[in-house]
Amino acid sequence: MPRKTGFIFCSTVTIILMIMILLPLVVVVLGSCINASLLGLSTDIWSGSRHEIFDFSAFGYILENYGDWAVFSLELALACVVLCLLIAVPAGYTLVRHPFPGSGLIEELAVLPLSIPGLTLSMGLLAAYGEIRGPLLVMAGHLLYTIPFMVKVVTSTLRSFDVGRLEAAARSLGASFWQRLFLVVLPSLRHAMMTGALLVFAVSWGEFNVSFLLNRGQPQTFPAVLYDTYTNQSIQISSAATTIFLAIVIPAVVAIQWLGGRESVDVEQGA
Amino acid sequence: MNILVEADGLHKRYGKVVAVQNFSHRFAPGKITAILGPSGSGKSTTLAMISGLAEPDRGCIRLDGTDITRLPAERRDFGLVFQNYSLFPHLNVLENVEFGLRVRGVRKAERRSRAFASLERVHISHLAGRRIHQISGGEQQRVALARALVFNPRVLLLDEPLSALDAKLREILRNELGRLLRELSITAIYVTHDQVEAMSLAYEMIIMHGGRIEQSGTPLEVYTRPATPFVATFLGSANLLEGECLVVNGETRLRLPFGELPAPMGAQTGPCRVMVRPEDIVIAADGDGQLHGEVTSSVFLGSQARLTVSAGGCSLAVDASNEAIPTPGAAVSLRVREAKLCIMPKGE
Amino acid sequence: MNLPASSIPISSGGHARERRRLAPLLLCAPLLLLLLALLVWPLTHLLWQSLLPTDAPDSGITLRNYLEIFSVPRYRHALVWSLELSLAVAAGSTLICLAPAWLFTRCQFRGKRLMRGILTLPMTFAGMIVGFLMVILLGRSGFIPQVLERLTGQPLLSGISYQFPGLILAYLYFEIPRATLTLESALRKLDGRLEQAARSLGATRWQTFSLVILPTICPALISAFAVTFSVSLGSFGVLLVLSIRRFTLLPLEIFTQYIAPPTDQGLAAAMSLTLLTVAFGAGFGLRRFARSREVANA
Repeated sequence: MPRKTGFIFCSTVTIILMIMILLPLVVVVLGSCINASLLGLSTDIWSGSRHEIFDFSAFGYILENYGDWAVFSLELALACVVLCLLIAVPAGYTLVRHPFPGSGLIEELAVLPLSIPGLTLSMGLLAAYGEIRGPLLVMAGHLLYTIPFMVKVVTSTLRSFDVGRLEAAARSLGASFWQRLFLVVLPSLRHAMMTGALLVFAVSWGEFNVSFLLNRGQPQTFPAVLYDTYTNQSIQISSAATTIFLAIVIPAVVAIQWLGGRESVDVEQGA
Repeated sequence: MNILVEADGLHKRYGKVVAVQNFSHRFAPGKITAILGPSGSGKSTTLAMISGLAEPDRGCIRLDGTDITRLPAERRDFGLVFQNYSLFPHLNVLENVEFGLRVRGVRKAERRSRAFASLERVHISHLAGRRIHQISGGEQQRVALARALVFNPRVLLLDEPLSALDAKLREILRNELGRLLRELSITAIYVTHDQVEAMSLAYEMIIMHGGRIEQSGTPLEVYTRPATPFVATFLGSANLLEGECLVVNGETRLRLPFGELPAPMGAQTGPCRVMVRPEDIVIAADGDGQLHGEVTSSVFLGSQARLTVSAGGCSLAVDASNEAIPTPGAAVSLRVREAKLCIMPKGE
Repeated sequence: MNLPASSIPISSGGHARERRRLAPLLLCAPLLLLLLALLVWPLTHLLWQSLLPTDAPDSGITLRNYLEIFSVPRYRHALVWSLELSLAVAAGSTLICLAPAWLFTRCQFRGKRLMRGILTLPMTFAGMIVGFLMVILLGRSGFIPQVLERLTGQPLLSGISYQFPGLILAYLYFEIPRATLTLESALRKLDGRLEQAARSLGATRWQTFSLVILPTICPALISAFAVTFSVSLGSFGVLLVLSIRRFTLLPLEIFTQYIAPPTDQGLAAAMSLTLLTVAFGAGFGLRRFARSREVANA
């Protein structure tokens, strides 16, 4: 059975990759709260002289010292989500449904930041708006970096189920422009908007280079907390910070996967 | 609900391609009219213009005498059934049917009961709570019909509604659809490329070709008296022959490649084109037919057999009963049913 | 379902043409403004900055900054190392991720979504986090070396994360999701029956692979390579954590130029535009090439 050997080979490689991805995450999460010796690690480098089995003090330390950084990062991510929805959804709808001369160019331009190094983007922003370096410029950088995701999700979803046909059906049933928008177009896009929002949130939450360069003073974004702990603190505290980071980003990624699965069902039967 | 729809000189072009030109027709009120044609003949574009989803470049559409050419689709109160149904995937069956009432501001209780009644009419009220992707193609078709009928549209437009279904189901639904539409006596315009569908459903047929109307009339008229060779060959099969009408001894005769026949009533003299259907050429058992030929091929089709007979320098399609099918090479004697000959003026 | 070609054409223009011509522009305007203000204008600014020497901004336009990248050994090495590392990582991750992508598109089994979810986890991790994860896993006090030391009594693999294998592994770590997803979406477009057709025509397994599968997945491989190459080229976060002696990458050079004063802004701008040109040029060119191959196949 040649097909079977192919399957076994592919699944073996996949499982190795999964282990490679999961193993450090598990070690970090466990290392942040239980005594490192239980994991077979030498404790002094990890956590200094503590010897309790469960030890959540590192989390307390992070929240106490960097709590406002985390809050700033969350606020930033949520603001990005809201702005991306407001800007990209109407634009994406227009680009797909009512193309005009130059709309193709706008679409290319909108996804361009994905193929440009974040470093170059942020240096450009600094070159042009260096005098407002700070939270506002960080916001601009994040927006630039996240909006391609929203535009991509919205346009590809609109293309995949031919929203024009559904709109035509709604027109024939007597729906006005606004009724079509709110009863047909936006409800059909709700999965896409959800996926896009989660993507934007996760990307903004995990972004480091752009924020680090564009910001000045405190608070910084949460990945800057990680950088700070990695360079200055014990491994246990670094692990705790990383665990907090993961606790936010992993549910978002899982939800994207889950929605992605449902999306494909919708797309298949919409075709 | 006997609404009169008139189309007057509709023109539509997409870029350089002329999709429809000079389409004029009075659609029979309360009856089903089929627009039939091969793909690319402009039939769907015509329907789109009547529905308001496409705007004609020229010409106008009137509804009971009122010009509605500029009226947007959503204000025309026309029901429209799409080829791929275009059901809303985010709504369930009942909500899909309710949609037309919802956008008209009908209260919830009333629209629920009316939507149920509409589903009942197409025999699927038991599916009301299902999601669209949980029901079959035939059921989706019924939902689309219920949705288009729920707000009592003035006119029902159907765009190839059965083309995505398999043959058996298509026949069942076609019969049901015909019964329902006749019951409602609603003015319906039915676009299809399937001649059987068109002939079995329609009160009147419009045959389109290259963006123009080739012919319109009842199915019987169009089938037996095709106006052009295109119509003759598009509807069923036809033998097209070159001929000439002559007056011999005070009697009009039709000269064909294989011999002379008495001309049908009212034939003009001069060169002409003659159409005869395969079923109107019969094999004369006793060998005393008007022409003699040799069978070149024979295909068994179940209820009958289709022969190709070479006679008098031309090749004729002939239907034979399935009892005694001549084999290729056999000599046959044929008789043409003169009354069924159709003479067309010789075109360019 | 095979639908016949005919179906209702829907005009996008229509009634109230004037309003429709204006409305799309209005709906697109915020996006357009955002792109102009945050993308086009800053990049133009950066280009201008790169053409002016920092110490003498009034002396006019010059290519001195760009020439400096190639003439100073440190920067030249950074550029070459960046290219080498990105090429290696892109090639490696594309080949390795072919396995999961193939598995996800051609096989149906339980737990597929979970596996897919796990492989896409690192998608939004900054490079620096991946660097830390590698330290945890393979660093001097990392998990694997310590476990191996317990088991064998000897220090094995210790500190590997501070060497090239660790660096490559870290880059692979965050390229896995990108390569897998790109390959998967490209493979999904391919018709699996082609293989069956080839086999039924008498092709051997090797012939099927080399004559049918390889040419058809070639565009997928190219686009995955393009994506991973551009991303690797711009990334430097790993190296912030796993600093390797005497080794540097171009983006890291730019970063340190900006972080640690005194800053040579013109040089940094020139370096970052060089980076952009290579990353974007390679990505764009390869993807275009892949698309042309796809059309040729279809």
